[in-house]
Amino acid sequence: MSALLSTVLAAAVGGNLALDGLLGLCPLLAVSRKHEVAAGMALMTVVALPSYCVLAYMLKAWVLQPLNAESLALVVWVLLLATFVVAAGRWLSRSRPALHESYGVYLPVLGVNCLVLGAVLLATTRADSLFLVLAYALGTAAGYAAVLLVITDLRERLAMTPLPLPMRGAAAVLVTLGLLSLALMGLRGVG
Amino acid sequence: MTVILSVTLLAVIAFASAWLLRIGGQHRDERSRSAVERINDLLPQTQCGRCGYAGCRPYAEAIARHEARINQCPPGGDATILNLAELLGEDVLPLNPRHGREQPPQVVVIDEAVCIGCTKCIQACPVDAIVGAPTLMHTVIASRCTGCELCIPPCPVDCIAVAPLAMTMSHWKWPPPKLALP
Repeated sequence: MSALLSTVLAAAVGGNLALDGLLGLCPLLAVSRKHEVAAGMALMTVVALPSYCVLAYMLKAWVLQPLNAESLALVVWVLLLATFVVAAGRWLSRSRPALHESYGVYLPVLGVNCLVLGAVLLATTRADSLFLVLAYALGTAAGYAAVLLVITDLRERLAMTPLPLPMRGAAAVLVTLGLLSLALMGLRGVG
Repeated sequence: MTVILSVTLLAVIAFASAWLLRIGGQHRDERSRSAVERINDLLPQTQCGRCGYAGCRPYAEAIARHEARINQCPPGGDATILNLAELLGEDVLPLNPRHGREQPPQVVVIDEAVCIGCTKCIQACPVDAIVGAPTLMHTVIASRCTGCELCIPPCPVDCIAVAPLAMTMSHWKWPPPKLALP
């Protein structure tokens, strides 16, 4: 139990993939302009990432390893991720059409990002039980969602701040991300 | 041997995921589409705002939330009310005169000699049916105009007039039956 909890904490805080691994920065920049859109993306990550990682781990443990075909893992993950994004897009267009429209054609780009691929690769190589993979994926997703929401709030603040012209927009967000990442370095090793 | 195994494995996984997506997609039939979309499909899409909402979709959302009645759409008239009542299982109501009267299909026409090119009507048009540029003459694309009259109040020189839609063989339809309303 404590191992699971420490895995969740380590993935969410200490080894936060967005701030420590600098993965998945494209959605951080793209959807952090409006709070509803960012919240939708955060919710999607929290729902989709753990289920995706668990499915990937089951495929690896029950199909790839017995057939001695672990070298195919990366290709299979991409295939699986494409399936997940199509399913998520359909679900979103049915349940939240307005949100789906606000993502537009970028939904696949936002869904298939390096964060998801990085998380599944790290989870299936490091963790060696289904529950550990689930804990790691949950922690990663929660940490990413938290960073996304924090960046959105900070961006609202930044929008009201008089900044020199070259620093406005994406530049300021990237610098903010760097500062957040520095702040998180002190928490490395938590968990 | 390894090659055959890899190709077979990838093919099996690809077909399995495609099949799962197909199974999942089949549930997307008429019944599982959201009520807002089905109501919106029945509205005339004039985006005139006479119902009191910003456009047809906001009105559809309001109907779905039971905030608006089904008799607030003058461009749709009795036919739309009948369709909405059938979809929602409600009673047929007469068109609320507060929102306007049912009119024959119409378009607006800009008197191009009077137009001063102020672009105000372009900004008011909900369906982007007016073309023009600042200080240059504007004109209405008749095939896109829904006759919502939203461009008439902003015009500073009153050069926009309503014209009945010229009936041609390409878009003539049998008139919908008049409702016998209590």
